[in-house]
Amino acid sequence: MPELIELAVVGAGPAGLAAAAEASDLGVPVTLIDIFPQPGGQYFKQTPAELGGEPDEHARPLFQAADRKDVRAITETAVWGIFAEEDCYLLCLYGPPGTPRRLHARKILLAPGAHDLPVPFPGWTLPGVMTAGAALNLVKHQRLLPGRRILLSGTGPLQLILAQRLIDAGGEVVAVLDANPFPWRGWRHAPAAWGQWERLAEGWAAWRTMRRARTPLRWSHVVRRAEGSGQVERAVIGAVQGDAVETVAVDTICLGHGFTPAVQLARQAGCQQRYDPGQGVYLPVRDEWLQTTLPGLFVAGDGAGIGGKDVALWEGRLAALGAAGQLGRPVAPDRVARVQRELARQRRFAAVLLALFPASAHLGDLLTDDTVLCRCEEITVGEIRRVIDEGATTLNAVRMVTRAGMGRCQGRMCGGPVIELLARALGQPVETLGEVTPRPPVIPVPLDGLLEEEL
Amino acid sequence: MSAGRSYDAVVVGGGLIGSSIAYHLARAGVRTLLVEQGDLASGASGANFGNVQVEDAEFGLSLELTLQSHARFASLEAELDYDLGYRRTGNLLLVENERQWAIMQARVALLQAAGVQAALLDRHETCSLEPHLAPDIIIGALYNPDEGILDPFRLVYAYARRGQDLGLEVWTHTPVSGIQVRGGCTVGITTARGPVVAGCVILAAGAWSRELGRTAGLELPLQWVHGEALITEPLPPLTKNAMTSAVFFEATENAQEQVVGFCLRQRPRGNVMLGEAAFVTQRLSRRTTATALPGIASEARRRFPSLGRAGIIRAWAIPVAFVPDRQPLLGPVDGIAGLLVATGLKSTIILTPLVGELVAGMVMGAALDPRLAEFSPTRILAGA
Repeated sequence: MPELIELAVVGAGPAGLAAAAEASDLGVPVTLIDIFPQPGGQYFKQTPAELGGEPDEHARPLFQAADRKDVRAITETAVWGIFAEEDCYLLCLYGPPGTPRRLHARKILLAPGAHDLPVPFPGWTLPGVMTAGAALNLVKHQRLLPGRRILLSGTGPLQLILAQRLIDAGGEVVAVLDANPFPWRGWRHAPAAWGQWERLAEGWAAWRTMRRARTPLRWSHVVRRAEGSGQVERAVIGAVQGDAVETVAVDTICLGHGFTPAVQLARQAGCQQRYDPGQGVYLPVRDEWLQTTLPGLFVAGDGAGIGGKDVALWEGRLAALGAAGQLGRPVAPDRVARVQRELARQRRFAAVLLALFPASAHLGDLLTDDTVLCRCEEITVGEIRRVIDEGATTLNAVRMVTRAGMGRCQGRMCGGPVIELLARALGQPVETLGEVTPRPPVIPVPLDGLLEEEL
Repeated sequence: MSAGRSYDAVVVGGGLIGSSIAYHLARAGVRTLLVEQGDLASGASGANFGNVQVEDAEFGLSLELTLQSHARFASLEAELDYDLGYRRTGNLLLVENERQWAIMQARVALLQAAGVQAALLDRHETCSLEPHLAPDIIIGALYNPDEGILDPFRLVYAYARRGQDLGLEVWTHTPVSGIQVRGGCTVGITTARGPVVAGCVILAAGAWSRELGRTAGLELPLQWVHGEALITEPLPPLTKNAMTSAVFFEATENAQEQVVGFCLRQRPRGNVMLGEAAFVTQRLSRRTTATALPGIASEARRRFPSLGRAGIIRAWAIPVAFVPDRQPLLGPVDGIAGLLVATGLKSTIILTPLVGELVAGMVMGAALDPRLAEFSPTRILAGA
């Protein structure tokens, strides 16, 4: 029989780390599982020590949580499936030799974070096109520049942070394109931004760096096409609306359209989902403790809807309080009230960012029939449009006939763009087109890794 | 409520069998509606390996029909004007003990007598066909070079599309709540889109047929296994033939416990499909179980050790209908005029062209082979 643990926290980013600290404060032994060698997730990702990395000053107390005696960290380990059993959950794990392959957990707190939101355009499969998240990782943690002449296209403040990092590292940022218009009405949101000094200062510093480097920031602009033979050589850019375009010589294009929640594990486990029109995705339904429709299974942070680091931290704490309460630990009402208050404040600011810089997925006009949409199976827009013409009316139907989304990434990359294409072609809202149930393993695992015991 | 739309025939179930029947009816000029609760091919029809296989047919009429149906595949893509991904690959039934060897010796003689090019290979011959196969596992194989593969989704879509060109109407995402019978005659169905009037209803809903049959007072001797399988990421060429362990001929279908066997098929893109784990259940579920994946994994790596490192990208589960006497339920229902059943076939893909034609013939009152009575859905099953 697998070992029975009290609380499994899956994901050691902001939400998972904060949850582990909160739960262990209440005397709940925590098993913290993460796929990376070190805790931190994407936001607090640690730079390898051999590259001069030190933990982020702000994150230090969080990392100390992972080192507590009653927090057992299982690193470099994927949770590839969750199965409800009679009075607990079975977690299927795959990690380095010696890692347990199966655990029984009374409660589970998922903190899986998010993926970069892919927004395809003609030429996006050329080498040299990457996500802003990947570029930030390279420059921040590997101390590598992704290229020499770099174009950023997407939306929101993360692009400014990335531009700053690239400039500081000696890269030439040709331009930063934001698909949304200048946030003239941003002042209306001043009350929600009140107190967010750290983040406002961060944005301001990035903006100053760009000014010094004379990096243009162009609103309502996007990259419309990438060109080159075997590698990005030129980007055709233009206004979101209108036909005027210009061509700029670049060797790298970073796409920063935002993030999409990593909902796969919650869905595989069987949590009920609901379409969220604000975020444009299906999200797990949660109660006031962030518990899903599966009793004792909680989801916190970006994995339940994009809110950013601070929302994730407070959600992690709230869900941990909920789980600790269910495990019979006394939970102080004033602590709960404080966490709920802080969470509400952070959610207000996150809502402002989402309102000012909505994920600009509505760029479907740019797609040409030869644009590859599903990179794993190499399925083009034209092939998908053809099966829609032939009568496919749901995401599943498109997937089954074309095999789009049936490859290695299981639709993490192309699921959104395919459903967007279908919605446009049929003139129907996305939520009427069905969804795909993720199957285990939710990330690729070697066949031997599925076995209950190591060989 | 209005009287509802009216058709000559309604086919319930948009899988391999239902779509073929609907196409053949439309081709014969019958005003036909095909109703499916989800997407086309969203049940067992879309959750299989795409094998066009002869080898596991029951001897007698089943095998005879299988071979007749197989003959139609050479021209099926042209007839349906659709790329089905059909190709001949060959098939191996892996023999792993003396008992299976004896069973296969009897089978190969009967297959050959029926005109099938099957041959019994020894270990050496088998491994020279499939050099990645672990030799010490097997003692030989039953080989049929004539079997093949196609994309089952595409086959269903092709039937529905060609049918629509010929006047077929298709309603997907339309659950059927009941079959209406009045005075011993079928009068129509009730659906999520309202009632449909039809003097002829063909029930081809796989495992879902039993519940629907009950709405017409019909108790079908239909059961199903909860079958599970998984698929790797694309791999370099590993096998040419589809493979199945002959253990399936010893016993699986009566197992209440999960039985894990071995079958393998490498798709043209390189993904390797591996199966399967199955148990008989009363629940209609698509959820994978925690025990199936490791079970399939250990069976697969025993025969193909190099698969141990292959990345697994997805597993799936589906109820697959079967009849305890291993013969299909095919034909009119005694006592309910206008109601026909077509489900419980063993190797469904290969039989689709012929079953579609046969059922269309039954609907139109054509003279049929009297031996088809042995597939009657209201037959008394031995031991049932």
